[in-house]
Amino acid sequence: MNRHLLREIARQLGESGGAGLVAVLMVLVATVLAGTLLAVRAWIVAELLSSDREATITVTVESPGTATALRGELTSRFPGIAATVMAPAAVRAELASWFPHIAGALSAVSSDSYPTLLVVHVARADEESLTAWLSQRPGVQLAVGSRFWREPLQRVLAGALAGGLALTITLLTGCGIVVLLVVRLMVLGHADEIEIMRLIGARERDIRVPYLVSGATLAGLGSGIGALMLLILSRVPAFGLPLFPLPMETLLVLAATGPLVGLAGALLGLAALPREP
Amino acid sequence: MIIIENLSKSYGGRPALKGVSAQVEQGEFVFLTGPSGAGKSTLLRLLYRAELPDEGRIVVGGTDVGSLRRSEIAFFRRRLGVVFQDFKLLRRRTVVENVTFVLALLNVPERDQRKRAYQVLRQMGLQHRMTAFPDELSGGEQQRVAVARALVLQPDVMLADEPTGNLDPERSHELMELFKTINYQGTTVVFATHDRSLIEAHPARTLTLDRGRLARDGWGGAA
Repeated sequence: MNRHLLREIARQLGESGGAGLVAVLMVLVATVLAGTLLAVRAWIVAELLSSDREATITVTVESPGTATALRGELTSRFPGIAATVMAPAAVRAELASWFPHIAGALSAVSSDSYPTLLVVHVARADEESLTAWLSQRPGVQLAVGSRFWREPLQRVLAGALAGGLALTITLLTGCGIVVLLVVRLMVLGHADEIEIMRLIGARERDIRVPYLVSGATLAGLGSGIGALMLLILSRVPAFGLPLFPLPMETLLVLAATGPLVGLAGALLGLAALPREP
Repeated sequence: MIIIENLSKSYGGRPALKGVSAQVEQGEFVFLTGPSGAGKSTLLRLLYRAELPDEGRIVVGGTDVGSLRRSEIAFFRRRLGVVFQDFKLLRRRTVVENVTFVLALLNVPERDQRKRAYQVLRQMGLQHRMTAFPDELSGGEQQRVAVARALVLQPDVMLADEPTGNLDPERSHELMELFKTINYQGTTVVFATHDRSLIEAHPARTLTLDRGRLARDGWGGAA
């Protein structure tokens, strides 16, 4: 890379000003958004929706005695199944451990107000039939399988991903348009200089490459910073985010998206540059 | 050597050049003259391939200019030195950066760039203004920077399009002397001017254009 090229790129990045900053921010937001969605999706799929994961059926019963009897009936009928009885006090303690900031309020409520639960762990394939069987047992108030929340979660996740993808594409397209306009304005502003450069022997690539590199750099800065932020957020335990570490390949793809978008915008912007006859 | 054969060019149906033919030998100094609108600048623009002729053929140093591919134009222009009436200097670059611009594109080592720039600027008497910007120079100085820039690649042919047009008579004659020196060193010079006093003071072969036609090919400024 020669000095002319570096100098032109530096100058063009400086000239891009506020519009260039907007392009950087748009790609930055798009990258972080896309990375976060991918990380959250990976976490939900691995932790909650994995087909290897066994299903849980939560059964609300009238009393601890009923729960113990039901567990006996269950384990004798289906020997491989594990089931746990949770007395109202245990339910209250479990809830308090989930929501420590309201543990005091939960403890203040009498244990009589909490239900007795029988939690049954079962293979996914048996979940539906076993839920139906349990719900017909005497003393059972409610039997709900994890499918009850898994299917809506899948729908919500699919919707969130589609929405996030649409927003990401919109932001990237917006960045491409901003880069296009920035490059077009610069090309028009530099028209005299470009003509002189041509007349004294500059090749088309000597003239065009700095604009392409500038466009790719603007968007690449955004995606690079975004990918770095994702790397830090997902790898540094101090942040404690429930994100699965994004694979390095994903981070690299996210980082590479910006330069490609910037390059495309700059290429379109350069269409304003007249060619030699 | 420059060969011009039956050259025609028109703009929007209005002819700028009509059937112009001429030949300039290697190392020759040729004035190109004629009134405004006679076609001098058009002919030069065709010579340095800023435009294509409607008809005819131009050969410069063995290169058929009309058949150059776009990717070859820059390399062709590097073999020419072109000087313009309005100097066409890069305003945001210093004198030395203007002169070394093409050398930088050619990846000539920076030390060699500065050495060559110093040599040509010294020849122009501008070695003390190397770090100045064009707007800090007088018209005459700017034109000498343009000449230095044209000379830095040691071209076989120099094309000058009214280079004295923005200079006072004294500076014009100084510049003319510079071109003559360049010519003495073996460079072919085509010097477009409508200044008859310049031609009379520095007699040389003169091609006179009139309304796009070659009206005269002779010595000196005689009508």
